[in-house]
Amino acid sequence: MMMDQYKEQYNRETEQIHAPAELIARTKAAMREEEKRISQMSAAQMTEGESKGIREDFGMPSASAGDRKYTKHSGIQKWAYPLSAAAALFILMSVSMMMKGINSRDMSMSEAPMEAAMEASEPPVGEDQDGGMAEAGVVMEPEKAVETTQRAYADEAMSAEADMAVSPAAEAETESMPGAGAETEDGEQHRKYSNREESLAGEAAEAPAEDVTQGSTAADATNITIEKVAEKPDFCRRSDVEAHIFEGETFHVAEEEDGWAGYIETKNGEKYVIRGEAQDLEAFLEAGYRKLLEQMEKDR
Amino acid sequence: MTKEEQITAEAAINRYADMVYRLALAQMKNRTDADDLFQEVFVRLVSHVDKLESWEHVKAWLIRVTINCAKKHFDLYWNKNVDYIEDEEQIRGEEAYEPPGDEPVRGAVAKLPPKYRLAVHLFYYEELSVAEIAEQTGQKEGTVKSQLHRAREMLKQMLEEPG
Repeated sequence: MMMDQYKEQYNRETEQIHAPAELIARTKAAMREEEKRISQMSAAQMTEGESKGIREDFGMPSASAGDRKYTKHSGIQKWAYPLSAAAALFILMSVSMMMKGINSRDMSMSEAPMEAAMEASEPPVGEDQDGGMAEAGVVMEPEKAVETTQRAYADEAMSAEADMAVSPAAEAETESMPGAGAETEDGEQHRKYSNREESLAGEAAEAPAEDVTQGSTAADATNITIEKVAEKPDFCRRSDVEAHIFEGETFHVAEEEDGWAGYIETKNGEKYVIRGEAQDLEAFLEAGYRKLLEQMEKDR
Repeated sequence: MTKEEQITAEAAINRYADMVYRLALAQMKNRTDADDLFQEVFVRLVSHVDKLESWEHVKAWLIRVTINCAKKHFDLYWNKNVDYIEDEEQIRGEEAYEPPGDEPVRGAVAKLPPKYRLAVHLFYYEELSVAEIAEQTGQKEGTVKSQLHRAREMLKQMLEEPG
């Protein structure tokens, strides 16, 4: 190729060129001066290192400045290592002590709330059980419905957890002080519904009545008779007569030797007297109201 | 094969003086500047020779430093003052290097632009590869190939011109 020819010729021509001897000599002199200058700098740094207690092991004179710097740096590290190690140990010990203190505090603090929680959890459980049992008693044991109902009323007055059937009773009980809704087997204590609003009294009367009827049968109220009268009977003038609103009807009820007696004046102006035996007032009112409805149908 | 010579600055100048001088001359195109460049390269070698592990390493280092110093020289040459450029007589004076008449190829190469001149010298005389030239000059291989291609065309044109 043509370029090969030129290449060879270029190489031949170039090989004829040599660095002048005088230039080489001049350059070598300059190089020696440079070496001297470097060695003088090295010696000066060595002198400074000796004064600061740095070791003299520099090796060849042509050792680079980097090595000298490294040596100087290693001198500083001599005392820095033990100091930093001691500082690290101190910090570790302090941290561990702090952690122990924090842990012990956490343990004591966590125990109290746990214990308090345990104690607080017990009563509600007991109360719920009692309330539940009371409810079950009303449903499951009709023969003891009165006793269980009375117990339930007493419990509900104390606790806010009441079912729908008895909650109105609880509200009524809280508003009226006496009795707390508790009714004795003999019916000696009567709820004073007349002291409250008619709606609340009606609900209160209705709820326990419903509870009773859930567990009670017709046998709770027996021999219920109804009689249409022209005027108020004599027993209405007695002092122990109480007015009870049941299903919107006002019953004037008095307890007699053989049972209950009640007087009702309907909205139509018709007057009725109901008599009969019942376990309690609620049973009498329920049975009496049923009798009243039957009678009113007949009279139409 | 002789025992390998210990790498020292003085041994390096004995071994590579001609190489550095030829490279300096190929770049500077001026003996005075080439001499200055030659001296500067070897003086620098004194503080770096301990880091060079082999003679091939020394050679590569010398080529690279020569190229870099020439670049710096060239930048300073242009940045010094405009007067020198305007003085044509000084440019063509005794200090200017011109190959003798019996060196037509070197004469043609001397007329190439500096970068082309350097690529031709490193490729054809020092026999460096394109990759090595690219590494030494800090250029891409494609750029070096392009420079060599253009240089060949220009040389062909110059050398085949009649008269």
